[in-house]
Amino acid sequence: MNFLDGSLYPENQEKLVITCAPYGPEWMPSDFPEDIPVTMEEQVQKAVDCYNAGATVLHLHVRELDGKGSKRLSKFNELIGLVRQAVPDMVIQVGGSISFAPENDGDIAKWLSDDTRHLLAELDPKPDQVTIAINSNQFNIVEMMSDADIAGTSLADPVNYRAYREMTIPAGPEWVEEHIRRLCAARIQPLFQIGNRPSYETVERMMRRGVCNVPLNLTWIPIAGGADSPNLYDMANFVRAVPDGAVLTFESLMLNVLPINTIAIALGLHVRCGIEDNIWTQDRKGKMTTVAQIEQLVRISRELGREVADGKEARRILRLDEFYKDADETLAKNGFAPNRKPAGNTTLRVAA
Amino acid sequence: MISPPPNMSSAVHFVRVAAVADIPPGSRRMAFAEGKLVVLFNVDGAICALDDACPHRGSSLAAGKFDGTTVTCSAHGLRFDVRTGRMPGSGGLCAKPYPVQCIDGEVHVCID
Repeated sequence: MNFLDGSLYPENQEKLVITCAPYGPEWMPSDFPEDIPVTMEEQVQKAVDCYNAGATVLHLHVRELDGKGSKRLSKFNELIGLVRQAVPDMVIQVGGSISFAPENDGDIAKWLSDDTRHLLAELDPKPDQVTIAINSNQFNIVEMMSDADIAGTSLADPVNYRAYREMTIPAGPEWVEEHIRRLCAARIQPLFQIGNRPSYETVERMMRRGVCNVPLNLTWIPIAGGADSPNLYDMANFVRAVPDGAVLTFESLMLNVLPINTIAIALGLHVRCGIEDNIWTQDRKGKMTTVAQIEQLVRISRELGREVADGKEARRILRLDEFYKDADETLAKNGFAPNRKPAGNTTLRVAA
Repeated sequence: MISPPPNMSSAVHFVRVAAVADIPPGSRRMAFAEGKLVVLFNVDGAICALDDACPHRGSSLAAGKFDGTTVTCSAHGLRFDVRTGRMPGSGGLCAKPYPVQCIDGEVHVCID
């Protein structure tokens, strides 16, 4: 991305898109009972509260009544439908790390014949976005967490801690390309969740090959444990690679979330917050709800003179309805240099 | 295979879920047993049964990669020994195993 003179002036920046992640699937309800919704009604109300506080993108996971993550497609469909009804302009972004299970005997044959993660493309009503990780990577979300970060929570249980330390992201090239193909066929926008520059470059190469003809909407996730670290140098290295036409959101972990988001707001980028990423106030005197985190970012953004997007504006900024016909159009719309031509015509131009 | 303890009372209830012939060595099969979804694995001729829910976040295990003794959850890559339900090594999460009986070529699972 280019940061030309005036790029830090709010009048030259897009309005801020705030993504909220209020469902916190890594936590047990007892970790933060005041803010972890369990019933369907509570899960819908949480989306409404977040929207009213200023968040326009909802990162959605679903819980069953026993507090565990749901593996039922019907439960996802139900929540998506109810959220759509309650807050029609909110962008619904379904978390893609899920493996669905059949709900009756008749579905079993279908389930074993395919990777059930692809069923995200069959959600009905369809969400606006589904997140997709790129490249199979370690996903050790506790590597950078301190004892204070997990004190008194279920993550402090050594058995649970070990599970989160050992997580990986199964996202090899064959699965990724097929998943993108199915999402695009369903007119669902892939939201790329990217931990480091090599994974980002895989997305760029897919776009250059014409197998990923979509707007480049992505989150940079410096949470260590296989991903970048939340520091200035990794940030600059990543942001430098991303073209100007992309919509780049920052997402981090625990007490890194607020400073990383503050930088994103200042730079004209976008932010994600919520209890999936952090549950503490910066002084660790207590826990902080997703709504309080959203309100905090709204205050900071306004102090910097940058307005917060409403739902319709977020939809425009994210170009949710755009799907491109080929690599050339995709590269141009996202602000990449075009693909190289044979020798004799090697001048590179950025079209957007 | 998870066998019932020798002193298991006759009150324990096993449910027929599949034919052994439907689960060749090295394969897996899903089945409903009294409303619960179980996944059956054949490890060198022995049938093992696990609750079809990753103990991590509840995702379905049945669709994960099965290498003959270990299934890998496709959501976050956690691996479980299908004979015990345990993660390899010690001290990890445990997928719920169910006792299995194979009688006259039929697989029965106890989900009590």
